[in-house]
Amino acid sequence: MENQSNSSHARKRKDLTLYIDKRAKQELAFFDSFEISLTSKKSQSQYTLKNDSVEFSNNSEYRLYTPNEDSLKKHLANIQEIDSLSTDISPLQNLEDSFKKLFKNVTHIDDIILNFNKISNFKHYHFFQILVHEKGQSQAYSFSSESKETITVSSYNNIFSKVKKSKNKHFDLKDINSEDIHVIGSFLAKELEYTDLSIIVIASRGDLFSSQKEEKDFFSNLISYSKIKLAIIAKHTLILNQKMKIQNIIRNFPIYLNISSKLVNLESIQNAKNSTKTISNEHVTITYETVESSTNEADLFHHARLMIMGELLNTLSHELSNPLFGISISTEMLSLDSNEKDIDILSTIKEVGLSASRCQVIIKSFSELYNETDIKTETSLKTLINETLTLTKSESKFFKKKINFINTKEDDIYIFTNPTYLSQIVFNLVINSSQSLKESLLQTKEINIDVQEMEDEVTISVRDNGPGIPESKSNNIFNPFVTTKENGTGLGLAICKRLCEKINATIELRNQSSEWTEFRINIHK
Amino acid sequence: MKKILLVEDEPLIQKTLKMLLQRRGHEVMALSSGIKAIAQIHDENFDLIICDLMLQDITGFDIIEESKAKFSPEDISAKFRIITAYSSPQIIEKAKLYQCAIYSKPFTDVNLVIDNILRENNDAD
Repeated sequence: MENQSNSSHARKRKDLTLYIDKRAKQELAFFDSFEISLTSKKSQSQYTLKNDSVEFSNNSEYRLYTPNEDSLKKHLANIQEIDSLSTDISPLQNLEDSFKKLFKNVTHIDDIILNFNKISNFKHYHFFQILVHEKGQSQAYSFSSESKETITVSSYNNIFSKVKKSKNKHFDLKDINSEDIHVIGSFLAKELEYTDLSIIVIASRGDLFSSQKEEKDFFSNLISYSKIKLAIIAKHTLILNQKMKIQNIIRNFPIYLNISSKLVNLESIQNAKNSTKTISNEHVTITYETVESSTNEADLFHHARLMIMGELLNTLSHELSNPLFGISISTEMLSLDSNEKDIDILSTIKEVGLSASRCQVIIKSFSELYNETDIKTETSLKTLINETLTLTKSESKFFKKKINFINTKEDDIYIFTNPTYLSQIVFNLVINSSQSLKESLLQTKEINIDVQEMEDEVTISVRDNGPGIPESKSNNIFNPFVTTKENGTGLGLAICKRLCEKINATIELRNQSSEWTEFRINIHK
Repeated sequence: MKKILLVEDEPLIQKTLKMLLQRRGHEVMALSSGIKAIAQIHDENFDLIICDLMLQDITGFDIIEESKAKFSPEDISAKFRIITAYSSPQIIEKAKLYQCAIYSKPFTDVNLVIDNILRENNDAD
């Protein structure tokens, strides 16, 4: 935009005159305001910025942009001034009156079409059509007194460009050959372009005679004058259309929508559990459900591991059970044939058979251990911990392990819980202890598991005399991705915490004495 | 004395079952291959066919299907005994189609299973 203020005209009127390039002109056309378009005979195109309005003028037209209706009226009062600038204009008062008639009680484009006939200048016109296209949409809309239909964008664009190119805005059917214009004879058309919308207005008397120049000018001026209002009504109509379409769809296909918002934060799950919120009207029900998240990393990691382990153990148990059964029954048979056999051989055969049976039992219980079902059973903690320790052997075999049942006579405690989850928790803790002990320089490296039954809970504590957890990490050690290991994922303890929640247990890192690092699981009975 | 075909590919199970059956005075032919078993069923006349389901080459059900050329459905039901380590509901369902007795491995009491297999009437325990 060039900024100049040396126009003699501007100086005389004590206003700023701007010379504006084509693009800026379009942008200014969207000055949110009322707009008057009049024909004038000024020699050059210019915008004049005034106190409360912008004037635009070039060879053929004169426009006035004002921010509101009041100031427009003020300008209308100064109509003489405009008159002096322009010669062959239609009377502005007539335009204003026609404008009022055209938009009286109007909420829809159909209303405008009906109102056209109420304007005296158009009383001989029988046909009006308004075409609207919202930019970016795959179809355009056509409204006329006879029909309402959708038309293709290419057809719309064809009409629009021809109307735009035309100088006198007067056409007959051979000028625009389109099936989407339902006119018989010659017609007037005017195009309007907005940033997000364009409109074509067509009017016809339904005969083949050419319209009077006054009629053409009046039509053109009225439509230009109505530019903003037309856009508002057109938009309103499109929205109404859209709304009706959606309502039809909903009426014909009632769909129950269930939208679940999943939580990601491990900490907030307990507080937010089971909260639901339902929004509904006659057509649609949306339920927001806070569900236990299965999408957080720790859960996914755990789930994947459980799946792989489960599958592996399942395959193993199937593949091994047949040969193990072979060993079992053959040794059984051999040991029954006791005659003519050495006692040593016989006892060895029996041992072989017993070992095979034990293998069968171990495999069976492991595949059950990794069975991810939410089933609680009466579980022997002694068996569970022993089996879990066997699973950890690859990591823990170098260290001294001890299970202490405190204050119990039978050296075992039974608890009604989910053995898969509990075993997973103990497994993770023992693996952590083992990996930590690898770093230790102590002579005797120990992992102790203390099991204690109290009034309303059973505690299992896993402690080791390894190097421990640095104080900086001890506060958020249960958070995902917090790890003390060089190649750790930091998910193990986060998983433990989640699993504890599932079996109504809590897990804590006990005050670290100089000697032991202790994690304690408190299982509520 | 019965003429028995035992089709089982786990060597120790095959050997033990063969010996236990022989000790009861029966003539036993033991095979690991299902395809060889089909050939034998065509050539020989067995009173009883004890058949594992999961063999290295084909399944026990394939053997039964191939035997249809020689045996009536009643014969199949009377002659065949299925032993399997995979006693899933689907497999039990399929065995029912042939009206064959099915025994799940591992057996808790081998001798009891052999007693049942040898019984004239074809009832699984």
